[in-house]
Amino acid sequence: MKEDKLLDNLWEAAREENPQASYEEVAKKFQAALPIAAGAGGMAWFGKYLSLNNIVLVSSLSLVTLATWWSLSSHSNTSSNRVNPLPVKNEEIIPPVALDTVEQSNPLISSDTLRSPEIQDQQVPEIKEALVPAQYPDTPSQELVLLEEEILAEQTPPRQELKIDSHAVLEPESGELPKLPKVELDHTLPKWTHYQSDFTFVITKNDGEAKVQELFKQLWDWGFLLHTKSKYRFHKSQLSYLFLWLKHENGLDFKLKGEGFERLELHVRLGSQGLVETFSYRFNQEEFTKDIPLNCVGYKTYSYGPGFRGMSGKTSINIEN
Amino acid sequence: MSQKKQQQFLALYQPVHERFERFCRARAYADMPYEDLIHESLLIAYEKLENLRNPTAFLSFLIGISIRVLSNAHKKNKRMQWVDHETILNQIAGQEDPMEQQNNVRFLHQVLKQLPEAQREALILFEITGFHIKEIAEIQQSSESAVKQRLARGRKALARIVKNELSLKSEEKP
Repeated sequence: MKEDKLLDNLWEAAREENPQASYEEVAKKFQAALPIAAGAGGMAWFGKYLSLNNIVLVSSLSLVTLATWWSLSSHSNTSSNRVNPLPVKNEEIIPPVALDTVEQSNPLISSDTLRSPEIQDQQVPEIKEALVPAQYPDTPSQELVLLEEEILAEQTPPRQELKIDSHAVLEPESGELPKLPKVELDHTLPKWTHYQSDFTFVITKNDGEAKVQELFKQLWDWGFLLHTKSKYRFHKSQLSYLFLWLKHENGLDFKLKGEGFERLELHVRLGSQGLVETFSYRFNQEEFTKDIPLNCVGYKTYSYGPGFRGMSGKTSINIEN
Repeated sequence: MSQKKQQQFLALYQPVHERFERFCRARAYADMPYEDLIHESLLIAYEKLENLRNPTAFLSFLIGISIRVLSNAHKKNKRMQWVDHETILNQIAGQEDPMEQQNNVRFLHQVLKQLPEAQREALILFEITGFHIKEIAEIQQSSESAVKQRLARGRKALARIVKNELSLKSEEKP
């Protein structure tokens, strides 16, 4: 046909056409724009982006900033009152003997040095009396005497010199080190009659790509085979799509697809010999699915969020055998 | 650090520049200046370079970004599309000789503009940029069969449009 041939020529011309904008021009323009994008202009763009698209984020950020500022400012204001933040008076917690004890144990800290000369003469006895709490009016003053003599008497015994014999005894005939007696080690694992354990792998939408790779590795370690069509997608740095095509040598052929989910928990039940017997999972649901055996064939799709098509939790598991 | 990143980015971009430029020129025709599309896409790609998992897929990465840029621009200028469409039809009708070598590509872009977006995109990616169907399916986030269908329908529609244009020309030139 005439038009088909013409179209072929047109495609050919489009493929072979020289670029109108050379690489050098584009690279130069790109490099010239970069400092602006990364600098003030970039910040302006970032601010605009935030204000337009993330009003919730901005408001929550400002709330956090406000809370932090308030807590810091209140913290600094109350720092002068931190000596006794609780509504407990000093006289209630100072024992009645404290003043006397301090005076006697340390001659430098005396009532003379601690008090101003104006109140030294007459007010000292009054203050002392006032410091004695009412609930202990008759308690006699006790002196805390540091029994230095007693402590000195209980001195630890002198250290004994530690002697380490570092000379190896050589065989007299060969001059070599003596051979250690051979010990037969039992490498066989203990035979557990019943071993069962559960493991759960959790991945959330905020996890990065490394976590997804970790999930793939974990599945591999558990004995699952991942089909090459298994894939995942991130949207705005969040895991928005995950498609797992799980296979197993026991016959498992299970496709699990999730979109817009908050989290995925994959739960495996290990049976005897530590091998996976069944698995279950949940995306945003409250409960895990029923245990899925390793000879199951089926698929299941979960779509969450307003921007996604389909119903959430569409089920179509077809367990054969 | 940023200098090194720039160098890495440009080293990735240089080998795919021609293909990317052709794609942008064909795809952005009458929607927005293709230089702006290239420039905007490059800046976004540079910012999001950490998201690129496989360096060999850099062109797909760039094209994916440029499609989104174009889509955003398209949403903003939806009213203007009406005028542009009419203008394009007039331009095609007034084309002096579409077979002229220098106008060939321009004529193709104009004809492509009359196709639905998904079909046009698939055709450009397949015929001009040289992507495989599987790669196009990934870019367009659809199945391979859907891409094949788009290509087939796009080719048919394109042939029909070209046939009409040629008949118009022959009627105009006695």
